[in-house]
Amino acid sequence: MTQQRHKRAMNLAIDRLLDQDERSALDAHLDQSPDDARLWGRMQRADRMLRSAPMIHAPQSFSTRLMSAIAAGRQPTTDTRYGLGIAIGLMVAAFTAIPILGIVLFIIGSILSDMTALQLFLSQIILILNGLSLLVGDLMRAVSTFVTANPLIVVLALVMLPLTALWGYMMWGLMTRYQQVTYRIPVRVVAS
Amino acid sequence: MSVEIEQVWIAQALQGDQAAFGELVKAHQNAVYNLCYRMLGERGEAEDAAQEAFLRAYAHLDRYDDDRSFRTWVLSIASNHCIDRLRKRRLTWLSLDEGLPPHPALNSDALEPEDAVINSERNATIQLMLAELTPEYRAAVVLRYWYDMSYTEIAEMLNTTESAIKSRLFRARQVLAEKMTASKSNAAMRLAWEGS
Repeated sequence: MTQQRHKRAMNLAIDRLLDQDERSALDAHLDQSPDDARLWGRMQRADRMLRSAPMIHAPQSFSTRLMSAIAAGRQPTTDTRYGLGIAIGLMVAAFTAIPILGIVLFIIGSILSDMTALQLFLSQIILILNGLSLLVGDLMRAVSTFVTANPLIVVLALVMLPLTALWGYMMWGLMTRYQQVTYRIPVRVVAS
Repeated sequence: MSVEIEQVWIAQALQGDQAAFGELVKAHQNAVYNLCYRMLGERGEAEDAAQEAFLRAYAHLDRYDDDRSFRTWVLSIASNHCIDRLRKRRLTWLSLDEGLPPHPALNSDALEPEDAVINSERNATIQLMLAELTPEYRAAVVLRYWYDMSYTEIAEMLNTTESAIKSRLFRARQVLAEKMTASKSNAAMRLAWEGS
């Protein structure tokens, strides 16, 4: 039995789910392993403590308050994870993805099975990439000319970009922060 | 209370009889409240969570499957709601106006003074130990110890597998055993040990 299996056996023994042979094997192991015997003792004490813990009763007016809330038409809060919007969104995404994926797979399959089509496809990609690189080159030249003519634009961009990033971060933080939980201190009035 | 009477109340509640649902609430309020208290560790929040569980049960009563007991169904709603609350509680804001959360020892039922002190100390210790567990582990421990549910029942209630529940209970017990060692010198822990 590995160490992990001994510990799992202790867990099952706590719930009285070991048969006689398994229980004897566990007892034999505990006789030989002082560390596990100590752990077993602590697990048993924790178990006894939890078993002896009482049920805490609801306040006397609980049902009255609840039924008043129901009579007043109070609705339960909704968990966003079960929202109808998310369910519809996922369904739309799935229904959109299926035909698109089907077409993509069909095109890939036809191209790979035909050498001429594959060559034509690769040459088209190279042409597109070439066109894109020419476009980027033109754009860089235009930006360079513009910045040389208007140097203040660079300073403005250097200020605006971090400010925009900071604003975006703050908005994200406000939208996703966790629910606020507050507590009240119970006040005990001692009669003098 | 017999299952037949409960089924009658459910049928009446489904037809809009709020009083019948009130009977169901009275029959199960202690079980649901105790679960919420053991999960959340604070009476005010436990009451809110228990109310929410019953409101959800009332709003979705048409989804109730009468092959299961109503108690199991409503406890399942409550335990999943408490897990959600604990996950959202990761960031707790404590304002100066609101003060600190009450020590669990302050939340005792009306008993004789000496018994109340011992009970509240023991209760406080149990709640402090439960607070060491993750929401999922805590739910497994609470359902096992206070409701005597089998691994299968707990797995069904928490929408997971039986082996996952075995694993959660095993790890939770290890954590609790380690906490007992760490707090051995604590007076409340001694009281709790002696009382168990």
